[in-house]
Amino acid sequence: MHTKILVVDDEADVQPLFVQRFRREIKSGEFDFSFALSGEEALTFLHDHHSEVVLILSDINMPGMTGIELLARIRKDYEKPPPVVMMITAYGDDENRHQAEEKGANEFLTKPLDFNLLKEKLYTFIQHD
Amino acid sequence: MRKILLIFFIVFSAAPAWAQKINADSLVNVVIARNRVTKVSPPISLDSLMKAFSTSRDPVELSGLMADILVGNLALSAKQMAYVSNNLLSLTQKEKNTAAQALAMVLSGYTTYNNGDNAGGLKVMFKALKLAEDNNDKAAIGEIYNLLGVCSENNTQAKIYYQKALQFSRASHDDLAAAFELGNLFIIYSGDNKPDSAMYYELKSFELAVNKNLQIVTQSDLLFLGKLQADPQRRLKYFRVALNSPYTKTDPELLERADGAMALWFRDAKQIDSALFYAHKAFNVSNKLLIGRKRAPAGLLAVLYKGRNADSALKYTEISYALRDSMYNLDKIEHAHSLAIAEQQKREEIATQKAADQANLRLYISAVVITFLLLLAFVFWRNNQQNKKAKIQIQTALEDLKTTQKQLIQSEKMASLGELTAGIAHEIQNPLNFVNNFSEVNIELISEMQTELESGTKEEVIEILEDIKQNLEKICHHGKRADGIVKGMLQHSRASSNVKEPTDINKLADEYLRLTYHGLRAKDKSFNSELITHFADNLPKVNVVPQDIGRALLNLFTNAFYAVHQKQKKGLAKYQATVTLSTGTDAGYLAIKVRDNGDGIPENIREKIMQPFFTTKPTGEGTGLGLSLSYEIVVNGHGGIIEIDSKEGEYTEFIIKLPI
Repeated sequence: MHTKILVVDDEADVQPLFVQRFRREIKSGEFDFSFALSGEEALTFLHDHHSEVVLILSDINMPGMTGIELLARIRKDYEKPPPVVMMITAYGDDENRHQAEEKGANEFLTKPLDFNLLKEKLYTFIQHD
Repeated sequence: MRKILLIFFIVFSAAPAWAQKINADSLVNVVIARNRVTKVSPPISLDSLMKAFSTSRDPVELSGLMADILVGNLALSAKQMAYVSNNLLSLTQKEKNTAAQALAMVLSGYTTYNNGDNAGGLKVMFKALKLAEDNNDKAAIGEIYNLLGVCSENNTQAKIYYQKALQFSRASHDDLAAAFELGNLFIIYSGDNKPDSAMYYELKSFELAVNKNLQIVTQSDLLFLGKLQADPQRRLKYFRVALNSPYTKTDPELLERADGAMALWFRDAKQIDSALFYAHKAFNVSNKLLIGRKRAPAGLLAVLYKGRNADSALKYTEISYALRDSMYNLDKIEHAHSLAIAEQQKREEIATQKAADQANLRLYISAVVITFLLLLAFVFWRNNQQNKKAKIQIQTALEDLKTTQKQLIQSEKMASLGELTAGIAHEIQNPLNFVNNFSEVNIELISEMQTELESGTKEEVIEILEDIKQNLEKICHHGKRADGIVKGMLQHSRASSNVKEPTDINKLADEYLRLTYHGLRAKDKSFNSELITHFADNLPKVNVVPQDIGRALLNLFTNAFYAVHQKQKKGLAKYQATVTLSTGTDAGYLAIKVRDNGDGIPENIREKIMQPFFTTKPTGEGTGLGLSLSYEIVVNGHGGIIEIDSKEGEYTEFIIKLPI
């Protein structure tokens, strides 16, 4: 059973990066990545595929809807089952972390992303499920 | 001065010739005839005299009263004299009768003098003179000079005083005083052994006295004239006329003189008994007189008794000496004399002083005027100095202001750099992350490829190679992206080089939009806005100073983001903060439009927003220089235009137009 992960980031090159970094896991069918370039796009995707998506990785600092706003919408609209949401930001300050935790983020990661650490966290959440 | 002396000389030398014209004998006959009918009124009481004296303002009347007191038939004793003069002093002062007051004073001084205190007396007399002079009481001045003459021990001095007295008495028509003074001049000239001059004055006095029926002077002059007669019988006749006059009988002083004269005549005629008779009469009468008047009869008695009655001779000699000692104490004479000289000098000094005072006054006024002018000059000079100082201060202030303005502009640049730094960090961080990540992935891919080459299929290797190539392209792209950002940052922080170069406005505007946006986001996490860009294709490159236009754009972007953020804070439902950047061409200009859907700019401040230091931001947040700097760059620096379009509550659009 593969795990569907939605990555939300306004940087388009995040997509090939994730594909490359997780090429083995994708090949083995462990993870299935989908991508959105904005919060709005992510919500549209969730609207169609919310039952499939198990985990959401979102940047905070994006034009338009921010990651925090997206998190709030997700927590409000998708209660059952509540998806795992991990927030990523370049500004790893306390205020962002506090806001993210308050809105119900499961994890808070800072750029530059340590992909090995990310993998560990992903496995932890999947096994936990 | 020589001229005046000459005139005097002529007058004196001519005097005997005039004297001949006066017939003394006919005048004496007038007196003899008058003596038969003259009724002498009894002396007035002291109280009446003092009352009349203190209240009278008639110089002639005062002159008569003076004569009554001094030489008249009242025959005041020394004590009475002192009493009268003291009383008169206070009475005249009370009456504020200055002329009478001066006379009372001179009487007081004269009394003091005759009672032995010569110096003290003279002092008071000069005081009286000063008072009379101050009030210009001519008659009183004449009277006082006359008495000063009487008290002078020095004939020359006395002559001067009498001449002055005569001058003032004539001027005030005081005949009685004038007659006395003429008589006194006679005494002086007699003393000086100038019989012709003496005779002249005596006749003048006598003539005046007889014509004006001045009894006292008439009798007195008869006694004097008698002495001048060469013929003893004629001399005796004159003395007898005087002695037998009804007036003389009432006047102790005249009586003393008449008796004295008779005594001397009989002595000269060797009729000693008769001489003694008259001498005793004279001495007895003299007891009623002032001390000074007692000496002559005492001396005469002493001489007459000498060789006849030793006791009597000794007695009168002692009396005479005592009187002389009391009157003519040598020290006192010296003192009085020196005092008179000192007083004269003092008066001269006063006159000199007056002239000096006037000169001093002139000098003083000149000094005051000069001081004032100097002061005025100083005030002008100081004003001028202050103006100069103020000018320097203003210039300094202007320089300071210019420096401050430069510093402010520089700090505005630095402030915008600060705003950019966070954006720049973010912008660089992302490409760097990509470079690092793709590099790491490539390392993994290459080791994977090695494995595949040893055991795998050719397709797998080709696939991996494709990925590596794609990743390297990404690395390359992001590397260049970071490079561009760093270059832009350097350009921004560098002081404006003012070098214009053909610039891709689309790229420049996009770069600064992103930098501004991320910079603001870095500062305020709650801020967020949608960015819409409409870049016109095939825009020509324009010749601009990129960092300057970039800074101008940065200010417009900052304002746009600020505007939408402010509106966002109001929490309106369905409000999507949007900043739109579009480029295009417009009639020979390249137009850059920055539009925000904030609250717009109120009509009333639209005119002001380009002014330096104008800001709607809270204190401390904006320098108020952003838009004015943009205006400076676009309009003055590049010959462009900045236009503003705004609708309150809906939008604001800034348009920068640069000539192509």
